[in-house]
Amino acid sequence: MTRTDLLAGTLDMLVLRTLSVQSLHGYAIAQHIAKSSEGVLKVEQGSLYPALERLLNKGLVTAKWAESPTKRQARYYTITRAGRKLLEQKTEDYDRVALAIARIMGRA
Amino acid sequence: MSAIHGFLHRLRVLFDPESYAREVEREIRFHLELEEMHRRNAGDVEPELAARREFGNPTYTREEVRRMTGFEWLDRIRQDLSYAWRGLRQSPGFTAAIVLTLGLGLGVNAAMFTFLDRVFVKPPGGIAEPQQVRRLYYDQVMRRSEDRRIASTVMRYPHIREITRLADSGAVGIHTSFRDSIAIQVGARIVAARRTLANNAYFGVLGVRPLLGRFFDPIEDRIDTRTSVAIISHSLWRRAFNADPGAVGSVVQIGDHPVTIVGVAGEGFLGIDLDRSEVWMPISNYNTDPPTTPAWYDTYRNNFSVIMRFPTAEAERRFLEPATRAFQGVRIPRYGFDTTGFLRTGPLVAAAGPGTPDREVSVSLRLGGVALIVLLITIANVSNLLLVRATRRGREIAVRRAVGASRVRIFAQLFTESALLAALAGAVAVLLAVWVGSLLRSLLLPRVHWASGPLDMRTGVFALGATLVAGLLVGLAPAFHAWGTDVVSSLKGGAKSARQGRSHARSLLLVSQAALSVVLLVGAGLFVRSLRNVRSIDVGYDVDRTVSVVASAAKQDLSADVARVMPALMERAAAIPGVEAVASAAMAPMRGSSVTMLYLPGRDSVPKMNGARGAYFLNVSPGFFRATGLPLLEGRDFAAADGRGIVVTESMARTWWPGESAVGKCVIRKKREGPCVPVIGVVADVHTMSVLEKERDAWYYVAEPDPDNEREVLLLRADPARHAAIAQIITTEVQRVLPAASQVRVRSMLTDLEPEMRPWKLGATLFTGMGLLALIVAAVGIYSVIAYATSQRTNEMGIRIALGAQLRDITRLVVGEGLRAVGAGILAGVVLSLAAGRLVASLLYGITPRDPGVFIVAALVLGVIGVGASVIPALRAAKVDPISSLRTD
Repeated sequence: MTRTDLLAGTLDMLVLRTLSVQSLHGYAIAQHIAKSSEGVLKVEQGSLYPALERLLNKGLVTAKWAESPTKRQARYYTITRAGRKLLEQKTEDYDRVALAIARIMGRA
Repeated sequence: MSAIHGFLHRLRVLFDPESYAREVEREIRFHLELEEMHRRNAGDVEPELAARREFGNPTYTREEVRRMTGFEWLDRIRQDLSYAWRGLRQSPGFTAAIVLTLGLGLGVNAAMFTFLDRVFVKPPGGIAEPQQVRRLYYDQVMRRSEDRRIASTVMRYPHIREITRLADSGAVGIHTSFRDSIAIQVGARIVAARRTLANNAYFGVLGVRPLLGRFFDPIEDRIDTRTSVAIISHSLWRRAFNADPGAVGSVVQIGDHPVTIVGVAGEGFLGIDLDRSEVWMPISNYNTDPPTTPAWYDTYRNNFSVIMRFPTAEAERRFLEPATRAFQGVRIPRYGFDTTGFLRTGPLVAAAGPGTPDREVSVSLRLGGVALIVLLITIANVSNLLLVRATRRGREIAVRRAVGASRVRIFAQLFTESALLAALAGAVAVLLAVWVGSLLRSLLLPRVHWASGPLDMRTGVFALGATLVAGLLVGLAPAFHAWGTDVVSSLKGGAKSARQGRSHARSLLLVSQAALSVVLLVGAGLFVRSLRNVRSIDVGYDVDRTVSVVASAAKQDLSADVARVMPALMERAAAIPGVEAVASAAMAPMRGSSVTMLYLPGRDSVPKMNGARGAYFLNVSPGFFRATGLPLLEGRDFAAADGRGIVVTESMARTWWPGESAVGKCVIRKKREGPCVPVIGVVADVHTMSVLEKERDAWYYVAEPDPDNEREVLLLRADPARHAAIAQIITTEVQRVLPAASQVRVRSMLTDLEPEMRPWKLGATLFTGMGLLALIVAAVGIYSVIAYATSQRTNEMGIRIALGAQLRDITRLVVGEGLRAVGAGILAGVVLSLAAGRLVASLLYGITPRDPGVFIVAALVLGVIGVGASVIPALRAAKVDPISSLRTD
């Protein structure tokens, strides 16, 4: 068990969500998460690629090299059907947990 | 679905890690460039640096990515293997020594395994459910020593009749206990084969079915009328009939009778014994008595054995109890009822049963143990060599530990090395097993037939298992050494402490090698001495120089013809250069004899010798004693071809006429009312049939023409060196005067007696062979360990030399230490040998397993080897230049 495991689940979910909209390369994924959360969530960039590798191993995303808008070769990640299914399930879990916490905290 | 994507990805990374690493590298670089670009656009001062800082440690990222993927353990194994392979290639001599040594030990064991498997474990082929088939044994008290029992499969027919009464008729398989060799004439060819006589139930019990034709029918199964039909084995069918289906129903000649082939047995069935049986004929063919004696099935000749099938142990028990009672109810003439004998069963594999084992088989079992000892020695040796190497690599291992390799990881790498070595040794072992296997087959039990090649599935599995275990054991020593390595002091290097020159593990391995070598040497010495003792047994005749010539024909009895031409043959033979004496006899010495009753005039009873009342005799020609080297002690030889009188042996003379000379006395032969024949001479004692007889029988010789007992064996006396040449000449001569003789056998007495001496010859040869092997391995081991230990102490040696030590002082020092280890080994070995002596005691002859002479010689040999192996490193150490040794690290 490594120290990133606890955050790994959440990070995986965020990455999958990002990719469920469109295929992006690693840098773009990081930017997207940072922008969408208005700077609150900043992915430690060193842990992004290991996370992507993990997703690749589990077959939740696939990767392919393609030309980026800046005419350079970049590795694009695409979510798979299994990835989508897992995302759905993780989102449900997350919602349930968040609701429970909110209830306890009295929505404050 | 996801599984496939993921799996494919991992496979790709596994098979091409370098290119994937480059991809990840590109990806990270791309990321950094973008980040840099963004920061520059945002007006950062040092965009590159900031980008890097933002990203974190790329090396860490790379490592993490790498760690995530692939089958990590597989990756590690691949790494370890390539590293090990490189390491082995760097020191090819060392590697070769280890691989060969270990391969030798493993190969010899694999070969012995095949052999022992065949003799003790593997059931005969072509039989259904062989574990249910059991041999019946008669467990009885030995006739001449009341306190010993033996179990034998050989039974008398009247007993078997009782057994058959109790069981279903189809459940008792009867067969002859020994196979006889026959010559079959198929068309124009004559083929040799071995034959068993059996009843139809024999095949039923074994579950063997005919491939062609049928087995015996009820008429042929009757024992009182002889029917000449035969069943042949599949292999004989192929060999002699070229697999022609017309073989069934054809008529062949066996001996001098026409025999009809009625069936071919299923493939793979060759009888139930170690030697192959290819012909089966009905039991009614067992008829060796002249027509005047009672029918053979009512006589008490021992020549049959019984097999039965018992599906459960319960069924067996239920049969054995009443069967034993029935057995004990059979009255044996001149003996009465045997109330202490009982029936028991044993497995189909006879060697594993309760019967007395063949001496050769017992020796083979001991040799299996010897092979194991050799393996242990080679493992100890190789462990030592690897340990020495590991010590040399101490610094390399320390460095690896220092940069963070876990002990487990280093262990794994060292074990991989050992495993690789063991695997290579295994390959060598397989090759060796095939070669040694064929060698063993011709030496050990040559009459055994081998159903498969020297290497079959079971041996393969054994070899694999042994290789794995060997690899594991061999890797232990260096692994444990690496475990205990102190990182700091190894890295420091510097003056090697004297402590590193000694190592408990090394000494222990050395001592155990020496001890085991002593055990083998003692074993070899005991067997060699036994062989010498057996060889030097005096059987009366001159075994080395006596040659017998026997002429025979496949289809007819040549006795009368041979006897007719014998005088001419004897004349011719005497003229052959190198022949010192010529004679003839009814049978070759110790190959046969006749027996009669003898009576003394005026006395009712006669002395018994060796428990028997009759006496053995042989019809010989004058000059027989000179030709066979039997010393004439008193009186004279026979005068002419029909001389009256008999010549007795020494102990017969002593027993029958104690205190007086036998010459001049007379005996009555055969019938009480017959003439009293004078004793004209006394010769030295002889053995009757075997080299190992302890008691003498009563023996005498006659020289009389007797149409029932023709002198048809020609005997020559010649120097062994000329035997081959003489054999050729006499064979041609015999065939010239006797064209009908299709076979002329010329053999020295030594060859005739060879099978009896084989077990000791075997033991001596193989024990000595393996002992020498072990000695070489041990010598190499001692040398390498002492050489290494001494090389570690070059500093110390340098100082000693600088302080004035001479060559002999250094030599004494090094050799002394070597001898100490070897000495401890010798001591341990002697103790081990004394303890294990019990295991071979029954196989020795004329020597106890504690014979001091053998032990002393073994200790001396090993001591000399130890000194020799230590001297070379000692001399090298003495030549060290003190100044350069003190300077170097």
